[in-house]
Amino acid sequence: MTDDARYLFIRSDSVTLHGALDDNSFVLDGSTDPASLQEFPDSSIIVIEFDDSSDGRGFSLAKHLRNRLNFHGQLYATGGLIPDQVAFSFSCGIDAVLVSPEKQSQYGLQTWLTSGARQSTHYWARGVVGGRQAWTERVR
Amino acid sequence: MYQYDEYDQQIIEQRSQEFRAQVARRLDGKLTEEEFKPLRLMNGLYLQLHAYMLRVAIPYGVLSSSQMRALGKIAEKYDRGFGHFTTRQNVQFNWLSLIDTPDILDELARVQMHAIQTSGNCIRNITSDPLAGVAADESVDPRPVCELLRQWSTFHPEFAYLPRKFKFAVTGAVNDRALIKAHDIGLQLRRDASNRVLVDVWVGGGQGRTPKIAQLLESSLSIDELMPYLEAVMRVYNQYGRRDNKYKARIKILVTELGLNDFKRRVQEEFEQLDPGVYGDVVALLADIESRFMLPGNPMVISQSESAIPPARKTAFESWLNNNVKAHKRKDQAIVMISLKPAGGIPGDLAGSQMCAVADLAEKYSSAEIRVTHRQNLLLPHVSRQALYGLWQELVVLNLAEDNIDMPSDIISCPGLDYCALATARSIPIAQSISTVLRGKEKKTDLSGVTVNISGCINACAHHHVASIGILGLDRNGSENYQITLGGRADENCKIGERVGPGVTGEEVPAAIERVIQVYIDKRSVNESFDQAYRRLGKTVFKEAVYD
Repeated sequence: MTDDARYLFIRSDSVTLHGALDDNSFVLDGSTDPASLQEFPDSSIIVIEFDDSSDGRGFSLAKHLRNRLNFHGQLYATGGLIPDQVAFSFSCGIDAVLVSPEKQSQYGLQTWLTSGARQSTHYWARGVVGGRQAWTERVR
Repeated sequence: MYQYDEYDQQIIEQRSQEFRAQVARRLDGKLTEEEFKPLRLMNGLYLQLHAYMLRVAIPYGVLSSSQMRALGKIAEKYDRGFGHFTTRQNVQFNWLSLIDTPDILDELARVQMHAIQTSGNCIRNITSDPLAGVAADESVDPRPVCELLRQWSTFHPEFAYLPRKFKFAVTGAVNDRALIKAHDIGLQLRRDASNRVLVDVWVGGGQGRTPKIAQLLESSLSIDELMPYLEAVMRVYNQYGRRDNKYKARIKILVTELGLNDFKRRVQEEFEQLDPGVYGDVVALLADIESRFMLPGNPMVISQSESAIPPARKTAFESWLNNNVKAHKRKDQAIVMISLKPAGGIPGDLAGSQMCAVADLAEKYSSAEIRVTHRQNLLLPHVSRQALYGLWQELVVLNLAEDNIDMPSDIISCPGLDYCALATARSIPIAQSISTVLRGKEKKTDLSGVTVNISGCINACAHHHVASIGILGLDRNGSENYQITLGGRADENCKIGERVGPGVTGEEVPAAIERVIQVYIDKRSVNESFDQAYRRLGKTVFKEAVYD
């Protein structure tokens, strides 16, 4: 990642903005063995870099950071993700997907802007709600 | 069967709309085939040798009459008039045009069906005992657990991009008809002395180029523990499964390389950290799902006395009763198998008009419910014993009364080189020749339980490894060559067959199989199964028969 890149931040709170990456972020490759990680202070920013869209290890890494290491700071994802994976990222506890200028032009700005809302009705759309999976709300 | 609620319906309709937009982008050139490929695969759409193929999910093999009718109409309107039922209890349409696929997905959505996760490196269609809920030997009906797994795995955000595809099978009966030990995860549901449901988890089974029988990972989990436990298994696989070589990426390789104990330790560590409360009250969830299963109505009783059967038809009817009608948990009902393996026919294929006719029969005789079996046949699960003769007469008229269930001519066959882009040899024409040759033999002597499965490549889609007689079609320097394996088994005593020796040509296969079966007929003891006879007699005598 280059420091001056203008990333598109697709955020789980629906606010989309452009920005550069904070120099003090911890960048973890999606293939990082979670067993090798120690706890991070909640003031940190962690960026998970996905090698390519077919490698889903970064999703489990995000869950590990949130659930096992109780990380409450900002958690971003970037790299080879495709628009279809933005909603999945949010459900795994990622706050924003950072889209490089290259990826913005590859898929088109509009596709990225609507990506967070895709599959908004799937069984896991809201991920963990109040400590319970959203699907449990279906019980009548 | 399970009735969708608004939530389920909304999910598949939204998916269908998304796919329509993606197809439009592909057709106007905004997406290249390379970009479109992962998107279409997420919707079960393959590009095969001649056309697009759509694999439609049939969750745990259960279909309603209206769903079967919709499949029949799709076959007639968009395909060449037929569909192909698969070993994963799904159905495939082999001759589709890309431009029609969004309309097909809409037609499927109208009857609560879809093609989501029928391909790709994700959790695929959950398969189960085709006799679920009606089997006489069942202690737990597996369908609510299957449906829970279907919902959990559909668009699971963490497990949609696994190292490789992932297959679950579930049974609640003593006799395994779901092949749980040849799946990535097999679940055995049972009850303890106080009637509580317990789950045994088997892991690392599979076929393909490295066939493995699953190992017992955990026994006697309570139903509350099941979801977090499976989440832990999937997380360990997602993190540590190999991604450097697609042929070594299935969970069976991870379990083998780590060893069962190390794999189990990692799962246990993950499991202990997970809060079961996150999954809610699984018992209540299961009860809610169970309430959405349509209860069978009272079976139709057609009071046709069997004494009125004309003597000329009696033998044929009785043979069908013996071979195609199975015990139901209710004494007044029966399970009726419909063979999709007429002698010389294409295994698993059914014409659209026949699908519609089966839908009508199910409405009339079986509470509008049909099942698909992993042996590529259909069954009607709720038939009154009093109505069997009437049903049989109607099946005869439809050419659907072939009484060869679980016999050698009841062949499992993959599409092979006739359709499949991965195939190395044809399998359908060989299967057609074999069933033509064997049908006469099995009418004269009892060959029930002797299975013949033929795969057209090493991926083993037709389960040749676990057949009594397995056939694997390969490409040997540009010629089709068929390896024969013997002594496999696909039940609770699952076994991998042994290769007898060098392959033979396609023309030689039917006679070689016939000679092998003759050895079994000549030398078997009373009630001895094929694999038992094979192990008692040894490879040599059968090998000689193959190359005679």
